[in-house]
Amino acid sequence: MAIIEEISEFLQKGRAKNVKTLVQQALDEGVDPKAILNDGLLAGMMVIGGKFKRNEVFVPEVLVAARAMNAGIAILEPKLVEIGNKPVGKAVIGTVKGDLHDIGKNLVVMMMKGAGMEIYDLGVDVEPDVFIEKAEEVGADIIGMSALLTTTMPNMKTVIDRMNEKGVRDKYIVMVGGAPVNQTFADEIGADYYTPDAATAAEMAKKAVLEKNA
Amino acid sequence: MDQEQVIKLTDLPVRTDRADVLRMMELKEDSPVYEEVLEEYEDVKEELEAMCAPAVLIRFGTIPESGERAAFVLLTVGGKLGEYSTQQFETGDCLKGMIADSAADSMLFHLEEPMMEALRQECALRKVGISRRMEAPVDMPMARQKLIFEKTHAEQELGMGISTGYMFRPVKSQGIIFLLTEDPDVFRVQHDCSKCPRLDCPLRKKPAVHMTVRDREHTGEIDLEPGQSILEALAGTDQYFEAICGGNGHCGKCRVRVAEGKLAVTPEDQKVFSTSELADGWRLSCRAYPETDLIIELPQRNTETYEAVTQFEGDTAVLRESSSLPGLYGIAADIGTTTIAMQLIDLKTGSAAASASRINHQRRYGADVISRIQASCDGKGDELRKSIREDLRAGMEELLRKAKVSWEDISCAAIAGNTTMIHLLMGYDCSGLGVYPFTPVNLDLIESSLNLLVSDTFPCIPAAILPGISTYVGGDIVSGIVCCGIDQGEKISMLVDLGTNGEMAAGNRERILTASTAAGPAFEGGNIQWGTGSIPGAISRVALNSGEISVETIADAPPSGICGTGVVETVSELVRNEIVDETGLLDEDYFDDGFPLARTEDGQQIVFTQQDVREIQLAKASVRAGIETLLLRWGITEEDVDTLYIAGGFGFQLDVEKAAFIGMLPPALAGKAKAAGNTSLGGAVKYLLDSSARERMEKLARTTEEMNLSGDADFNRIYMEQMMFAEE
Repeated sequence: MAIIEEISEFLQKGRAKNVKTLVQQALDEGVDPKAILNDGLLAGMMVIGGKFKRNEVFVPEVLVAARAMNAGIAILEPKLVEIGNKPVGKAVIGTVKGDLHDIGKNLVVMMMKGAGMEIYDLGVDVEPDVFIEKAEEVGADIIGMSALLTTTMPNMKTVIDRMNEKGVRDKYIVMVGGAPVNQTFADEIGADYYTPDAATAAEMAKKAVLEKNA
Repeated sequence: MDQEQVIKLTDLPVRTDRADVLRMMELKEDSPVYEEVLEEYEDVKEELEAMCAPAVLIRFGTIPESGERAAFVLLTVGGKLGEYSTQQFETGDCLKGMIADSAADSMLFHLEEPMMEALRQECALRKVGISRRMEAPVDMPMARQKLIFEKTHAEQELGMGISTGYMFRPVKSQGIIFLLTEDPDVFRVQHDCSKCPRLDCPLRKKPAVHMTVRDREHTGEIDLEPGQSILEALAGTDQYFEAICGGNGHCGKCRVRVAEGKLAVTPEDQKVFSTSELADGWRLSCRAYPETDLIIELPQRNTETYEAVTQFEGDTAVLRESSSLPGLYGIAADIGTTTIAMQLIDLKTGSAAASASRINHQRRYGADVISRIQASCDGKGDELRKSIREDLRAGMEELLRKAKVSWEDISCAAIAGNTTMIHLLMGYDCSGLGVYPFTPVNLDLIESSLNLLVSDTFPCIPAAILPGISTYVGGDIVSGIVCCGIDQGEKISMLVDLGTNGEMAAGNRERILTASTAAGPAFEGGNIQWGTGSIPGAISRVALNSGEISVETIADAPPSGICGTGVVETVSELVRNEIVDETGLLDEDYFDDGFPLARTEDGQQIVFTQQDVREIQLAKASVRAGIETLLLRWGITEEDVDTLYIAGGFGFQLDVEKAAFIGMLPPALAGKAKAAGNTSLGGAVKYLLDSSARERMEKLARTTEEMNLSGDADFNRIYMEQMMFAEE
């Protein structure tokens, strides 16, 4: 459908106004809100995420596109609620105890939303048990942790250890990221996935949830 | 000094720099969203600046553990900007959130200006200078932020907090410790971009100081980044130094003379240079951080004349079916950390038609493998790879030129090298080599071709890279074992390479044990104040009889330093003449200034210092302990050893009796020691000539047992015992 493709195109260019108008227009024309979301907004965001991963665009382009996406979603939201649209999956995300960095985590949240995930952002300096309690409460699929310091990185392991103690480790997909984190570290602490950037994290989250629920 | 009050500045100008913000966000001018982002920034700029609550805390005091005097500094822009950014992200306006975050960083950076002004005044009042700026986690551990937090009373003064991970709250704050010095003229307060690991930081500073560099033949021009030392600046040029101590201010190898301009005297300079040398402008380039333009002169050096040893043990009879080879010649190469040695081998006769040797130009990134690994991890991997490929290319062309043969006559090549050198040549990620558990990317035999490995201008000639055993015991040792035929003998023989890693092997056709002993670079002249490589002018022979010193230098050139053999001979003579006692203590007459050996052409005294003796004690003890531990594991004594092959250029010239005299080799092995030359090159030649060599090497790589000596009780015991010099 042409209007949906247009929405995706405008979103990629970061034209929030055009996206808003077109989403409204599509709704008025009776286009399926799910199609507008998935094939228009989220599809456009995927394209930008891919370009970001390949260094074809930088952070500002992604930010502008995300803003356009959010503008579109704001219009769409009531309709989606009405028809009971389900997110791809749910993720609880935060920066670990002791660490106050939030930009990286915010970018991951943004990209995961762009992949159709429902996100519970716990903020920074998050106590280990808070990750688990929130995940239990909302029935999350993923627990995502960020750490930017070698001094706070070990707190990722604390969360995983706590999950094991409580016997809930297998219920969740654990994803980790942040400048000092790497695959080796992720393997050592028993995380499921490490991703080097926000766009890859979003892709991985979606893939992992689909596999889990398959 | 801890009676000092906290100096608190709050009435500070707030400044954002548009260029900073855009750079930090990585917004390029050709971005399709450039205008849009810019507009957004202009819209919120004033609002953001109004949210800024700038404050600077400064307090003079001491660092508890070391007692060093320091100024503790904390800068903050307050908490509102961060909260605003988070809030914007939450409501979906990620762009505004990011702009707020970047603007907060920019405001924080601009607090440096008033902070430094205040710091300068306070230092002047106390008649002190600043020798170093330290930031966590680059220059000091994160936990140091807690000290800053407490020293500056940040909680009482500004209501700040600190997280369990030692991050300040609010986040847009920065802690700095400035180390003080007695010299009020020194004021080294700049953030050192060159030390920061964030190579992709959009704010990395552009060159600011201009330096003219002269030596006998040429003059060069270099721009220095603020906070970059002269040594670091020279590392990227042809006029580099071998920073053997890694730029830590004690090896004294990187001396330069300031011809014009001003350069502060550092404590390290005072240790290394005499008063008259300082007055003449001599400085250590690793400690030199020029703040104004200057002209420096490099001491006369001769690195290009480094000769690698190309002789080696063993015969090179042709064992391959010569009819199976289309060409007439093969190329063998050994990539050493210091030098590269190559031979063009006549495949019909097995003799060398030409030899070539070159300095490994990667030396500009550091003398030992550790500094190369570090450089590679610092994003210089491509430069290092280019450097070694260029050395191989030039060396191979030299071989062909010398022997007057063309590429059509070349049918194969074999390259041996330690694991790090091979990683750098292959362009592998070196990060695993430098940290526990020291994991290499690949150790296998690599069959490739010269056009891929060396230069795309070369024809596609099959080339092999010989396999290695571990990160520490590489293809050069595998090659050496085959060269000496250790893996074929019935009796047990040993191979010892006296390089920095001190690799060794002991075995026979049944079983081979290897180990590396981290002997350090002392036998190659490293960590020795006047130490140098085997270059013309290096003191290589020393005799001391009834107080009369006489030295011989390589090529009889005027003395310029002491090479590895000279170092061993010096220690041997000093011990024999009881100028160094059995504990390694230098006679008190020489304790302060070192024992004089000779004078350089320009009149500087070449000495052997107490510290140099200590370095040799460590190095020789670790070699000795390695040898004895290997024998213990084999369950044999020195008597059972057939031959001790000493590999390497240094080993080739070594006086075995003197090495045994200082305790580096067990006395019973001295008579069985054989200078085996460049066994790594020898093994590569064997690979070309002997069709069984490949299988032997692959078997060695697979089955050789590597012993970890660092935790070995026997090794540690012998190491301690052998630290002393034996009484006669």
